[in-house]
Amino acid sequence: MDSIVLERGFERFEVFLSEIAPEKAIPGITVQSEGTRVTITLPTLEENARYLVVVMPDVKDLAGVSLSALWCAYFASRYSPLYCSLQDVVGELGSVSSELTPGLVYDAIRDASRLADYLTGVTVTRTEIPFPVGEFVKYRAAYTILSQIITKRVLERGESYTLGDLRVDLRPPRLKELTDGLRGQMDYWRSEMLAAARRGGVNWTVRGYFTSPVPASRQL
Amino acid sequence: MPLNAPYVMFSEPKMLAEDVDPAKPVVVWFNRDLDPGTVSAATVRLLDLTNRVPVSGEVIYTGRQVTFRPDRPLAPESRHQLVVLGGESGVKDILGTAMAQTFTLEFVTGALTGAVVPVVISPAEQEAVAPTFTILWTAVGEGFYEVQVASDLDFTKVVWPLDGEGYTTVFSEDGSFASVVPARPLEPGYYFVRVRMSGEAWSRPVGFAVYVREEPLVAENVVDELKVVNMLPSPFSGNVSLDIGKIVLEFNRELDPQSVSSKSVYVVKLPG
Repeated sequence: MDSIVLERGFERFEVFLSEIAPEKAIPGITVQSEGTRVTITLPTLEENARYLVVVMPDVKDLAGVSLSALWCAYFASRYSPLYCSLQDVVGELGSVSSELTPGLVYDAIRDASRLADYLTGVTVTRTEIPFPVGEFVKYRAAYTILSQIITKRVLERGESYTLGDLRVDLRPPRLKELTDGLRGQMDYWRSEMLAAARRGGVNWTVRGYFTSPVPASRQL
Repeated sequence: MPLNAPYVMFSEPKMLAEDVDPAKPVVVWFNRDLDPGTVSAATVRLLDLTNRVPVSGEVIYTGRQVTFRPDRPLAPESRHQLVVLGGESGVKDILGTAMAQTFTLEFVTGALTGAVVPVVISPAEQEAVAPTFTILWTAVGEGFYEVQVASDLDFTKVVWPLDGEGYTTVFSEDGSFASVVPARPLEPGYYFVRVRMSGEAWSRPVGFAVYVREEPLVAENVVDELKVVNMLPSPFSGNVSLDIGKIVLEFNRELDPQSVSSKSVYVVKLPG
Protein backbone atom coordinates (compact mmCIF):
# COMPACT_ATOMS: atom_id res chain seq x y z
CA MET A 1 0.00 0.00 0.00
CA ASP A 2 1.30 3.47 -0.90
CA SER A 3 2.54 5.53 1.95
CA ILE A 4 4.43 8.67 2.74
CA VAL A 5 7.32 8.82 5.15
CA LEU A 6 8.01 12.01 7.08
CA GLU A 7 11.44 11.93 8.58
CA ARG A 8 13.61 14.33 10.48
CA GLY A 9 16.57 13.46 12.67
CA PHE A 10 15.66 10.39 14.69
CA GLU A 11 11.94 10.78 14.11
CA ARG A 12 10.34 8.75 11.35
CA PHE A 13 6.63 8.84 10.72
CA GLU A 14 4.84 6.81 8.05
CA VAL A 15 1.28 7.40 6.93
CA PHE A 16 -0.75 5.53 4.34
CA LEU A 17 -2.29 7.56 1.54
CA SER A 18 -5.69 6.06 2.36
CA GLU A 19 -5.48 7.73 5.77
CA ILE A 20 -5.03 11.18 4.30
CA ALA A 21 -7.59 11.16 1.49
CA PRO A 22 -9.65 14.39 1.19
CA GLU A 23 -12.70 12.68 2.71
CA LYS A 24 -10.70 12.18 5.92
CA ALA A 25 -10.29 15.94 6.38
CA ILE A 26 -11.42 17.28 9.71
CA PRO A 27 -14.66 19.27 9.49
CA GLY A 28 -15.03 22.90 10.38
CA ILE A 29 -11.96 24.32 8.70
CA THR A 30 -11.81 27.15 6.21
CA VAL A 31 -9.06 27.77 3.68
CA GLN A 32 -8.10 31.21 2.41
CA SER A 33 -5.47 32.11 -0.16
CA GLU A 34 -3.80 35.51 -0.44
CA GLY A 35 -0.63 36.08 -2.43
CA THR A 36 1.94 33.46 -1.47
CA ARG A 37 0.13 32.56 1.73
CA VAL A 38 -2.62 30.07 2.54
CA THR A 39 -4.35 30.35 5.90
CA ILE A 40 -6.27 27.41 7.29
CA THR A 41 -8.65 28.31 10.10
CA LEU A 42 -9.05 25.49 12.60
CA PRO A 43 -11.57 24.49 15.23
CA THR A 44 -10.23 23.69 18.70
CA LEU A 45 -7.78 20.81 18.42
CA GLU A 46 -7.93 17.56 20.37
CA GLU A 47 -5.24 16.46 22.82
CA ASN A 48 -2.67 13.81 21.96
CA ALA A 49 -3.30 13.94 18.24
CA ARG A 50 -1.12 14.40 15.23
CA TYR A 51 -2.47 16.77 12.60
CA LEU A 52 -1.32 16.31 9.07
CA VAL A 53 -1.54 19.28 6.71
CA VAL A 54 -2.02 18.09 3.14
CA VAL A 55 -1.55 20.14 -0.03
CA MET A 56 -2.67 18.40 -3.22
CA PRO A 57 -0.78 18.81 -6.49
CA ASP A 58 -3.85 20.67 -7.82
CA VAL A 59 -2.56 23.86 -6.21
CA LYS A 60 -1.06 26.15 -8.88
CA ASP A 61 0.74 29.44 -9.09
CA LEU A 62 -0.40 32.30 -11.31
CA ALA A 63 1.59 30.88 -14.24
CA GLY A 64 -0.28 27.60 -13.95
CA VAL A 65 2.70 25.69 -12.53
CA SER A 66 1.50 23.19 -9.96
CA LEU A 67 3.18 21.37 -7.11
CA SER A 68 5.25 18.48 -8.40
CA ALA A 69 3.78 16.11 -5.84
CA LEU A 70 1.52 15.85 -2.83
CA TRP A 71 2.99 17.83 0.07
CA CYS A 72 2.31 17.12 3.70
CA ALA A 73 3.70 17.95 7.11
CA TYR A 74 2.51 17.23 10.58
CA PHE A 75 2.48 18.76 14.01
CA ALA A 76 1.32 17.30 17.29
CA SER A 77 -1.28 18.90 19.55
CA ARG A 78 -0.97 19.29 23.30
CA TYR A 79 0.27 16.18 25.00
CA SER A 80 -1.30 14.96 28.19
CA PRO A 81 -0.26 14.00 30.76
CA LEU A 82 3.17 15.63 30.89
CA TYR A 83 4.86 15.41 34.29
CA CYS A 84 8.08 17.12 33.30
CA SER A 85 9.14 19.67 30.71
CA LEU A 86 10.83 19.16 27.38
CA GLN A 87 13.79 21.15 28.69
CA ASP A 88 14.13 18.74 31.63
CA VAL A 89 14.65 15.80 29.28
CA VAL A 90 16.76 17.64 26.73
CA GLY A 91 18.96 18.84 29.57
CA GLU A 92 19.66 15.23 30.61
CA LEU A 93 20.52 14.18 27.06
CA GLY A 94 22.90 17.05 26.37
CA SER A 95 24.47 17.11 22.92
CA VAL A 96 22.72 13.88 21.94
CA SER A 97 19.47 15.84 21.81
CA SER A 98 20.50 17.96 18.83
CA GLU A 99 19.00 15.44 16.41
CA LEU A 100 15.68 15.11 18.21
CA THR A 101 12.34 16.61 17.27
CA PRO A 102 9.95 18.00 19.89
CA GLY A 103 7.38 15.36 18.93
CA LEU A 104 9.76 12.53 19.79
CA VAL A 105 10.62 14.02 23.18
CA TYR A 106 7.01 14.81 24.05
CA ASP A 107 5.95 11.29 23.02
CA ALA A 108 8.47 9.87 25.48
CA ILE A 109 7.41 12.24 28.28
CA ARG A 110 3.74 11.46 27.81
CA ASP A 111 4.32 7.71 27.71
CA ALA A 112 6.51 7.90 30.83
CA SER A 113 3.83 10.01 32.54
CA ARG A 114 1.17 7.44 31.70
CA LEU A 115 3.44 4.72 33.04
CA ALA A 116 3.89 6.67 36.27
CA ASP A 117 0.12 6.93 36.62
CA TYR A 118 -0.26 3.21 35.98
CA LEU A 119 2.46 2.21 38.45
CA THR A 120 1.08 4.42 41.21
CA GLY A 121 -2.53 3.54 40.54
CA VAL A 122 -3.53 7.07 39.67
CA THR A 123 -6.53 7.14 37.37
CA VAL A 124 -7.45 10.80 37.45
CA THR A 125 -5.65 13.80 36.05
CA ARG A 126 -3.06 14.93 38.57
CA THR A 127 -3.36 18.47 39.77
CA GLU A 128 -0.03 18.17 41.56
CA ILE A 129 3.11 16.45 40.41
CA PRO A 130 4.98 14.84 43.30
CA PHE A 131 8.71 15.32 43.04
CA PRO A 132 9.61 11.60 42.62
CA VAL A 133 7.03 11.30 39.84
CA GLY A 134 8.54 14.23 37.94
CA GLU A 135 12.03 12.80 38.37
CA PHE A 136 10.99 9.30 37.32
CA VAL A 137 9.26 10.66 34.21
CA LYS A 138 12.26 12.79 33.26
CA TYR A 139 14.76 9.92 33.49
CA ARG A 140 12.42 7.35 31.99
CA ALA A 141 11.75 9.60 28.97
CA ALA A 142 15.45 10.38 28.50
CA TYR A 143 16.35 6.70 28.79
CA THR A 144 13.67 5.70 26.25
CA ILE A 145 14.89 8.28 23.76
CA LEU A 146 18.49 7.23 24.19
CA SER A 147 17.51 3.60 23.60
CA GLN A 148 15.73 4.63 20.39
CA ILE A 149 18.79 6.52 19.19
CA ILE A 150 21.09 3.58 19.79
CA THR A 151 18.65 1.14 18.20
CA LYS A 152 18.29 3.28 15.10
CA ARG A 153 22.03 3.62 14.71
CA VAL A 154 22.49 -0.11 15.03
CA LEU A 155 19.73 -0.80 12.47
CA GLU A 156 21.11 1.74 10.04
CA ARG A 157 24.60 0.40 10.18
CA GLY A 158 23.66 -3.26 10.33
CA GLU A 159 26.15 -3.98 13.04
CA SER A 160 26.15 -4.31 16.75
CA TYR A 161 26.52 -1.41 19.09
CA THR A 162 30.16 -1.10 19.89
CA LEU A 163 32.07 1.67 21.48
CA GLY A 164 34.42 1.90 18.54
CA ASP A 165 31.58 2.32 16.13
CA LEU A 166 30.21 5.29 17.97
CA ARG A 167 33.48 6.97 18.75
CA VAL A 168 33.19 9.44 15.91
CA ASP A 169 29.69 10.73 16.43
CA LEU A 170 28.62 10.12 19.94
CA ARG A 171 31.75 9.88 22.02
CA PRO A 172 31.15 6.40 23.48
CA PRO A 173 32.40 6.88 27.01
CA ARG A 174 29.96 9.75 27.34
CA LEU A 175 27.12 7.71 25.83
CA LYS A 176 27.81 4.75 28.06
CA GLU A 177 28.06 6.99 31.08
CA LEU A 178 24.85 8.73 30.06
CA THR A 179 22.97 5.46 29.59
CA ASP A 180 24.11 4.10 32.95
CA GLY A 181 23.41 7.37 34.70
CA LEU A 182 19.89 7.66 33.33
CA ARG A 183 19.13 4.04 34.15
CA GLY A 184 20.37 4.45 37.71
CA GLN A 185 18.37 7.62 38.27
CA MET A 186 15.27 6.12 36.67
CA ASP A 187 15.37 3.03 38.87
CA TYR A 188 15.97 5.10 42.00
CA TRP A 189 13.05 7.45 41.37
CA ARG A 190 10.82 4.56 40.36
CA SER A 191 11.28 2.98 43.78
CA GLU A 192 10.87 6.36 45.52
CA MET A 193 7.66 6.98 43.62
CA LEU A 194 6.26 3.54 44.41
CA ALA A 195 7.27 3.80 48.06
CA ALA A 196 5.47 7.10 48.32
CA ALA A 197 2.39 5.67 46.66
CA ARG A 198 2.40 2.71 49.08
CA ARG A 199 2.55 5.12 52.01
CA GLY A 200 -0.70 6.49 50.71
CA GLY A 201 -0.69 9.96 49.31
CA VAL A 202 2.21 12.16 48.57
CA ASN A 203 2.57 15.60 50.02
CA TRP A 204 5.43 16.84 47.96
CA THR A 205 5.07 20.21 46.42
CA VAL A 206 4.25 20.88 42.83
CA ARG A 207 7.31 21.76 40.74
CA GLY A 208 9.27 21.98 43.99
CA TYR A 209 12.37 20.24 45.12
CA PHE A 210 11.43 19.61 48.72
CA THR A 211 9.99 16.65 50.48
CA SER A 212 7.87 18.77 52.76
CA PRO A 213 7.33 22.45 53.41
CA VAL A 214 9.83 23.92 55.85
CA PRO A 215 8.80 26.93 57.92
CA ALA A 216 11.03 29.97 57.69
CA SER A 217 12.16 29.59 61.29
CA ARG A 218 13.62 26.15 60.62
CA GLN A 219 15.82 27.45 57.88
CA LEU A 220 18.14 29.00 60.43
CA MET B 1 22.10 28.98 66.69
CA PRO B 2 23.11 31.86 68.97
CA LEU B 3 20.09 33.34 70.69
CA ASN B 4 21.17 36.87 69.94
CA ALA B 5 21.74 36.22 66.23
CA PRO B 6 19.51 37.86 63.65
CA TYR B 7 17.05 35.62 61.83
CA VAL B 8 14.08 35.87 59.50
CA MET B 9 10.81 35.83 61.38
CA PHE B 10 8.49 35.72 58.41
CA SER B 11 8.32 36.46 54.75
CA GLU B 12 5.99 37.51 52.00
CA PRO B 13 5.44 35.38 49.98
CA LYS B 14 5.47 32.47 52.40
CA MET B 15 7.91 29.59 52.06
CA LEU B 16 6.85 27.34 49.14
CA ALA B 17 3.95 29.61 48.25
CA GLU B 18 2.44 29.07 44.83
CA ASP B 19 0.66 31.29 42.40
CA VAL B 20 2.60 34.27 43.72
CA ASP B 21 1.90 37.56 41.94
CA PRO B 22 4.94 38.08 39.65
CA ALA B 23 4.62 41.85 39.94
CA LYS B 24 4.98 41.98 43.74
CA PRO B 25 8.26 42.50 45.61
CA VAL B 26 9.67 39.84 47.93
CA VAL B 27 9.91 40.92 51.57
CA VAL B 28 11.47 39.32 54.67
CA TRP B 29 11.22 40.62 58.24
CA PHE B 30 14.04 40.19 60.75
CA ASN B 31 13.88 39.93 64.52
CA ARG B 32 16.52 42.62 65.00
CA ASP B 33 17.76 45.82 63.47
CA LEU B 34 20.30 45.10 60.78
CA ASP B 35 23.45 46.90 59.80
CA PRO B 36 22.22 48.54 56.56
CA GLY B 37 25.74 48.34 55.17
CA THR B 38 25.47 44.55 55.10
CA VAL B 39 22.16 44.51 53.23
CA SER B 40 22.92 44.77 49.54
CA ALA B 41 22.66 43.03 46.20
CA ALA B 42 25.70 41.00 47.25
CA THR B 43 23.95 39.52 50.29
CA VAL B 44 20.33 39.41 49.10
CA ARG B 45 19.74 37.71 45.78
CA LEU B 46 16.75 36.43 43.89
CA LEU B 47 17.17 33.55 41.45
CA ASP B 48 14.80 32.30 38.79
CA LEU B 49 15.42 28.56 39.19
CA THR B 50 13.15 27.50 36.36
CA ASN B 51 14.94 29.62 33.79
CA ARG B 52 18.25 29.39 35.68
CA VAL B 53 18.92 33.10 35.71
CA PRO B 54 19.50 35.64 38.48
CA VAL B 55 16.79 38.28 38.77
CA SER B 56 17.94 41.88 38.62
CA GLY B 57 16.36 44.23 41.11
CA GLU B 58 16.78 46.64 43.98
CA VAL B 59 17.47 45.64 47.58
CA ILE B 60 15.88 48.00 50.11
CA TYR B 61 16.26 47.93 53.89
CA THR B 62 13.84 49.80 56.13
CA GLY B 63 12.99 49.03 59.75
CA ARG B 64 13.96 45.35 60.06
CA GLN B 65 12.40 44.76 56.69
CA VAL B 66 14.40 43.69 53.62
CA THR B 67 12.66 44.10 50.30
CA PHE B 68 13.80 42.76 46.95
CA ARG B 69 12.04 44.76 44.27
CA PRO B 70 12.60 43.20 40.81
CA ASP B 71 13.33 45.60 37.95
CA ARG B 72 10.47 44.03 36.05
CA PRO B 73 7.77 41.46 36.79
CA LEU B 74 9.14 38.01 37.57
CA ALA B 75 8.87 35.25 35.00
CA PRO B 76 5.38 33.78 35.31
CA GLU B 77 4.86 30.20 36.45
CA SER B 78 8.49 29.85 37.47
CA ARG B 79 10.21 28.64 40.63
CA HIS B 80 12.15 31.37 42.42
CA GLN B 81 14.55 31.36 45.33
CA LEU B 82 15.44 34.30 47.52
CA VAL B 83 18.82 33.91 49.19
CA VAL B 84 19.86 36.02 52.17
CA LEU B 85 23.48 35.31 52.81
CA GLY B 86 24.49 34.27 56.34
CA GLY B 87 27.89 33.90 57.96
CA GLU B 88 30.74 36.37 58.17
CA SER B 89 30.26 37.70 54.63
CA GLY B 90 26.49 37.94 54.97
CA VAL B 91 23.85 40.04 56.65
CA LYS B 92 24.65 41.23 60.20
CA ASP B 93 22.74 43.05 62.90
CA ILE B 94 23.73 46.46 64.20
CA LEU B 95 25.98 44.83 66.81
CA GLY B 96 27.87 42.98 64.11
CA THR B 97 26.38 39.56 64.83
CA ALA B 98 26.02 37.51 61.68
CA MET B 99 23.13 35.25 60.69
CA ALA B 100 24.14 31.73 61.65
CA GLN B 101 23.11 30.28 58.31
CA THR B 102 22.04 31.44 54.90
CA PHE B 103 18.29 31.88 54.63
CA THR B 104 16.52 30.62 51.51
CA LEU B 105 12.92 31.21 50.53
CA GLU B 106 11.38 29.38 47.60
CA PHE B 107 8.13 30.12 45.83
CA VAL B 108 6.44 29.67 42.49
CA THR B 109 5.00 32.58 40.55
CA GLY B 110 1.56 32.45 38.98
CA ALA B 111 0.44 33.80 35.64
CA LEU B 112 0.99 37.48 34.99
CA THR B 113 -2.10 39.56 35.54
CA GLY B 114 -2.63 42.56 33.34
CA ALA B 115 0.25 41.68 31.08
CA VAL B 116 0.60 38.77 28.72
CA VAL B 117 3.95 37.26 27.92
CA PRO B 118 4.71 36.71 24.24
CA VAL B 119 5.20 33.14 23.03
CA VAL B 120 7.91 32.33 20.53
CA ILE B 121 6.33 30.33 17.73
CA SER B 122 9.23 30.08 15.34
CA PRO B 123 11.80 28.65 15.56
CA ALA B 124 9.90 25.86 17.31
CA GLU B 125 11.48 23.96 20.17
CA GLN B 126 14.36 21.82 18.85
CA GLU B 127 13.81 23.01 15.30
CA ALA B 128 16.76 23.16 12.93
CA VAL B 129 16.84 26.38 10.91
CA ALA B 130 19.05 27.96 8.25
CA PRO B 131 21.61 30.61 9.33
CA THR B 132 19.21 33.33 8.15
CA PHE B 133 15.83 32.72 9.71
CA THR B 134 12.72 34.43 11.02
CA ILE B 135 11.87 34.77 14.70
CA LEU B 136 8.10 34.85 15.07
CA TRP B 137 6.09 35.36 18.25
CA THR B 138 2.60 36.17 19.44
CA ALA B 139 2.32 39.91 19.86
CA VAL B 140 0.85 40.96 23.20
CA GLY B 141 0.42 44.62 22.41
CA GLU B 142 1.85 47.51 20.56
CA GLY B 143 5.29 48.69 21.53
CA PHE B 144 8.95 47.82 21.31
CA TYR B 145 9.86 44.16 21.53
CA GLU B 146 13.25 43.09 22.80
CA VAL B 147 14.60 39.90 21.22
CA GLN B 148 17.65 37.93 22.31
CA VAL B 149 19.41 34.93 20.83
CA ALA B 150 22.03 33.34 23.06
CA SER B 151 24.20 30.28 23.06
CA ASP B 152 23.24 29.44 26.64
CA LEU B 153 19.97 29.08 28.49
CA ASP B 154 20.98 31.75 30.98
CA PHE B 155 21.35 34.28 28.17
CA THR B 156 24.74 35.32 29.45
CA LYS B 157 26.24 34.73 26.00
CA VAL B 158 23.97 36.73 23.73
CA VAL B 159 25.01 36.26 20.12
CA TRP B 160 22.34 38.45 18.57
CA PRO B 161 21.72 41.33 18.62
CA LEU B 162 25.17 42.52 19.70
CA ASP B 163 25.75 46.11 20.79
CA GLY B 164 24.91 48.42 17.94
CA GLU B 165 22.97 45.85 15.94
CA GLY B 166 19.47 47.07 15.23
CA TYR B 167 16.47 45.17 13.96
CA THR B 168 13.05 45.90 12.59
CA THR B 169 9.97 44.25 14.05
CA VAL B 170 7.30 43.44 11.48
CA PHE B 171 3.71 42.94 12.65
CA SER B 172 1.06 40.85 10.94
CA GLU B 173 -1.90 42.77 9.53
CA ASP B 174 -4.16 41.97 12.47
CA GLY B 175 -1.37 42.67 14.94
CA SER B 176 -1.49 39.21 16.48
CA PHE B 177 2.00 38.17 15.40
CA ALA B 178 5.32 39.93 15.21
CA SER B 179 8.61 38.87 13.67
CA VAL B 180 12.19 39.88 13.09
CA VAL B 181 14.87 38.53 10.79
CA PRO B 182 18.41 38.87 12.18
CA ALA B 183 20.36 40.78 9.51
CA ARG B 184 23.48 38.73 10.23
CA PRO B 185 23.47 34.97 9.55
CA LEU B 186 24.26 32.94 12.65
CA GLU B 187 27.05 30.39 12.83
CA PRO B 188 25.93 26.74 12.95
CA GLY B 189 25.26 25.74 16.55
CA TYR B 190 22.61 25.42 19.22
CA TYR B 191 20.90 28.57 20.45
CA PHE B 192 18.08 29.85 22.60
CA VAL B 193 15.73 32.70 21.75
CA ARG B 194 13.45 34.79 23.95
CA VAL B 195 11.28 37.86 23.46
CA ARG B 196 9.65 40.43 25.66
CA MET B 197 7.79 43.63 25.39
CA SER B 198 10.00 46.39 26.69
CA GLY B 199 10.05 46.32 30.47
CA GLU B 200 7.82 43.22 30.73
CA ALA B 201 8.63 39.60 31.49
CA TRP B 202 10.59 37.45 29.06
CA SER B 203 8.92 34.70 27.10
CA ARG B 204 9.91 31.12 27.82
CA PRO B 205 13.20 30.48 26.00
CA VAL B 206 13.04 28.22 22.97
CA GLY B 207 16.05 26.11 21.99
CA PHE B 208 16.85 25.60 18.31
CA ALA B 209 19.70 24.58 16.06
CA VAL B 210 21.25 26.51 13.19
CA TYR B 211 22.70 24.38 10.48
CA VAL B 212 23.93 24.85 6.94
CA ARG B 213 21.94 22.89 4.46
CA GLU B 214 23.88 21.64 1.46
CA GLU B 215 21.90 22.90 -1.50
CA PRO B 216 21.86 20.71 -4.60
CA LEU B 217 23.23 22.27 -7.75
CA VAL B 218 20.44 23.61 -9.94
CA ALA B 219 20.84 24.22 -13.65
CA GLU B 220 20.20 27.85 -14.51
CA ASN B 221 17.58 27.17 -17.13
CA VAL B 222 15.43 25.00 -14.88
CA VAL B 223 12.28 26.76 -13.73
CA ASP B 224 11.98 26.75 -9.95
CA GLU B 225 9.02 24.57 -9.12
CA LEU B 226 6.14 25.64 -6.93
CA LYS B 227 6.72 24.54 -3.37
CA VAL B 228 5.77 25.14 0.21
CA VAL B 229 8.61 26.99 1.87
CA ASN B 230 7.28 27.43 5.39
CA MET B 231 4.52 26.32 7.70
CA LEU B 232 3.35 27.61 11.04
CA PRO B 233 3.24 25.78 13.35
CA SER B 234 6.53 24.31 12.17
CA PRO B 235 6.57 20.79 10.77
CA PHE B 236 7.36 18.23 13.47
CA SER B 237 6.52 20.68 16.25
CA GLY B 238 4.92 19.18 19.33
CA ASN B 239 2.61 20.15 22.18
CA VAL B 240 0.91 22.79 20.05
CA SER B 241 -1.83 24.72 21.83
CA LEU B 242 -5.34 23.39 21.29
CA ASP B 243 -6.49 26.94 20.56
CA ILE B 244 -3.90 27.68 17.92
CA GLY B 245 -6.73 28.76 15.63
CA LYS B 246 -4.94 28.69 12.32
CA ILE B 247 -2.20 27.17 10.21
CA VAL B 248 -0.27 29.34 7.77
CA LEU B 249 1.42 27.91 4.69
CA GLU B 250 3.90 30.04 2.76
CA PHE B 251 4.65 29.22 -0.88
CA ASN B 252 7.58 30.38 -2.97
CA ARG B 253 5.29 32.01 -5.54
CA GLU B 254 1.95 33.74 -5.66
CA LEU B 255 -0.88 31.25 -5.96
CA ASP B 256 -3.85 31.06 -8.24
CA PRO B 257 -6.66 31.51 -5.70
CA GLN B 258 -8.97 29.41 -7.84
CA SER B 259 -6.76 26.38 -7.26
CA VAL B 260 -6.89 26.67 -3.49
CA SER B 261 -9.89 25.15 -1.72
CA SER B 262 -10.72 22.82 1.13
CA LYS B 263 -10.40 19.99 -1.41
CA SER B 264 -6.82 20.84 -2.30
CA VAL B 265 -5.59 22.05 1.09
CA TYR B 266 -6.89 20.33 4.20
CA VAL B 267 -6.01 18.86 7.56
CA VAL B 268 -6.31 15.26 8.71
CA LYS B 269 -6.27 14.12 12.32
CA LEU B 270 -4.27 11.00 13.09
CA PRO B 271 -4.14 9.14 16.38
CA GLY B 272 -1.35 10.53 18.61
